[in-house]
Amino acid sequence: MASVEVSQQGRRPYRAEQRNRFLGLPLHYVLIAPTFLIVFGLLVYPLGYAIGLSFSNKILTGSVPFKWVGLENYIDLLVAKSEMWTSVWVTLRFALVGVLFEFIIGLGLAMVLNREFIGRTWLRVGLLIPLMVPPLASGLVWRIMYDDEFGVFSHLIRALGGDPPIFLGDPNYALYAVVATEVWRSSPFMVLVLLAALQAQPQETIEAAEVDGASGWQVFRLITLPFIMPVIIVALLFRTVDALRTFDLIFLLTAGGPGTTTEVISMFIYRWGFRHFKLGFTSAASILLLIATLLICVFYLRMLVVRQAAVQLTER
Amino acid sequence: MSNMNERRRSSRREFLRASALTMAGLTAVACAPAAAPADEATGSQAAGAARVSVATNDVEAAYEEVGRQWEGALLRLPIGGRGHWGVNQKAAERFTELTGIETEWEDNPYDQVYDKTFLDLGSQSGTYDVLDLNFAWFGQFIATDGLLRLEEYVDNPAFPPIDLEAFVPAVLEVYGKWEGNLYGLPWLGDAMIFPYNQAHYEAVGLDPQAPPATWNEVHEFGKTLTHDDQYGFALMGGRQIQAMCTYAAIFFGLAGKGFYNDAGEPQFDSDEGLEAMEIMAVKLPEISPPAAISWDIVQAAEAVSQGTCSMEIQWPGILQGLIAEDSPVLGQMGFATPPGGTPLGGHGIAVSNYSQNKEAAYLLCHYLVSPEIQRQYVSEGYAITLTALFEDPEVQAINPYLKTMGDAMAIGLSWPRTEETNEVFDIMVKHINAAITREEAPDEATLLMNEEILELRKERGYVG
Repeated sequence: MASVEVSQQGRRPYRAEQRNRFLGLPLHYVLIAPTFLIVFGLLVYPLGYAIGLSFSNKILTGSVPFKWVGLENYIDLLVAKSEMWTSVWVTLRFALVGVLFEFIIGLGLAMVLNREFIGRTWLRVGLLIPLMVPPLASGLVWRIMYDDEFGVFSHLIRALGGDPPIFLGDPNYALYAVVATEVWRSSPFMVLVLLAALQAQPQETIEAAEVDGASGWQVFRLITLPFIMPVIIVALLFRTVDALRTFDLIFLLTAGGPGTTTEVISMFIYRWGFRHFKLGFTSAASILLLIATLLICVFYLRMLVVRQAAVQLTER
Repeated sequence: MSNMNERRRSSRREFLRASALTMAGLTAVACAPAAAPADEATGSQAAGAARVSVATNDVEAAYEEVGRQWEGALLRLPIGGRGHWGVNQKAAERFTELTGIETEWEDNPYDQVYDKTFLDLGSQSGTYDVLDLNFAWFGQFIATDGLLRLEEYVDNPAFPPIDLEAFVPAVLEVYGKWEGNLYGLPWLGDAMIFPYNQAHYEAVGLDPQAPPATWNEVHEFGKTLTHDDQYGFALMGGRQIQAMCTYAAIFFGLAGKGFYNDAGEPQFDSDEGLEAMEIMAVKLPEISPPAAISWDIVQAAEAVSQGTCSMEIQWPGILQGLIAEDSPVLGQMGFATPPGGTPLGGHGIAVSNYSQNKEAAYLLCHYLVSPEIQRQYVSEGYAITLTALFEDPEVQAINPYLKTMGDAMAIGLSWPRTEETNEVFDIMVKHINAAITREEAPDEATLLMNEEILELRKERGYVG
């Protein structure tokens, strides 16, 4: 009984009819309205508008009369001869190679930084620098570094008696030069996330395994890796999605060239959107990119769920 | 307890009321119209009346007298880097001193000037007051109804007089007029020319007074000039607009005709079109530095001004490095018109139909194309558009390639001015660069380019 009194006295009972004095609406609607408006205005409406546009032939220059074209844009994009497939292939290579190297470098450095040694703090700070440099600045700096005449890489190769390639102009090297820049820029993210996971690992399990005679490799493979696996999956998810959307770096370094060697899907969308102003076609391509990204997210999240289910089963 | 609840309730009410009032206030400020122009004008006039004239001659006094009524207005212009625009920006500083009209020059990568201007005009936002009017963009800007007709301003006696007949006629027609109506004033007279290093020619036994007369001669001369770290030609071969300009110059030179035939179909699949691509993608890279397959205009101009390359085809607006006092090639350069023909480049200067300061914007355009400004800044690379100045010996003495530029403008062929031109350029850039980098064979690139352009023009109704 006393508890009921406390409840009644200490907390004002909820009144469903409580209304905002100015608008006469239920207060909870008024309170949630700003967030709703922001989400609707910045996410739902543009997405809906883009989906709508993707079924039209809308061209910003206005010479072609507007009409609804159904699935025509999607069909044009998905047919075998579409230029989009070239961009899809470039994007996949860029994302897969980039994220793979980021993961390997990130995990390696995280393992190193997880140990005690002199200068560890400074090394950690140093590793953060690429994350702090604005993408525009880092893109321009790397462009100069790749320069055939004045670039540091060409200089080093010549100093060693070699003949440097045209890093950003040769179709055989351009994509990998861009990937290398992306790896430099994004590996620190991987390091930070994986280092946090490694540091959360209980030392007792490792010590117990070592007492049982497990080798370093066995400890890593059978204890550390399974422990940090959920974090690895999430980190890979973030980086893959980011890599699929990369635009700024490629725009700065190669603008999609030479030819279409580095024209990732976002450059493709930019070119058709802002050079040809074909908004209907571009919207359809954007929606396809969104769907592809969502599918990849689902794939990673499913891996996470399966992994957790397996862990729970083992624990039982 | 009741007092406490009451206090809490009232404090929450106060908070909500205060928040609502703040939001309402912010909304009112955001939605309020800009200060009335009449008030501004009154204030400006009052300030102007109290101001001492800074004009040093009658011409300046005329701009000062007219411009003071818009003192304090801010004019925004999107520009594509420094070069010609940088000189204009400098000239505009004096305009501000005279009139009190401020200018803001928004520096962008050149490719983005078109995007930004088009989006501004398309959205009718009036962000920009004065526009750089590349004539290849003319059609699309007209489609947005974003360009101000200038006839009534030109005829208005309240502004300083302007003699349209003093401009190079072709330049006025191409840079300023659309279907007979005047939308722009000729601002940057331009045609690609052919600078070549006469000292390099002499060193390898070529006649320095005989620049190549055909593109095959360019290739032959280039092979002679290429040795050790020295290259015959500076190719702008990267995936950017200058690759298209170079290809177009070669095509114009070989074919002596424009992009499209009478039926509106592209003519790049002709023998001349295929040969132009062969020269562009095979012969010129042979005599250019290997890195030139990724070069833009700046790298190519720099390579010639440093003496690394002996020849180039180039826009005059970026050739200051060849005649600057500290140039390694000062006094070594000869200038010729490109073999066979050249593309006519250049820009007009126009006023946005959505500008809030149309009169002040027109006055700035007027000032920047005036003979006094063109003459005053010619030594710094101002690209002149007035007939008399091309023939002025004093001006020719300042700028050794001026006469060549005038000759090139006389034989120049213009880009198509239809609405889809920028898209055509994009298609061309993609395939030309693909051919240069061997991603596509030259013939394949030319035919694909022709096919895509034809498809685009059919889609837009230019081909039946």
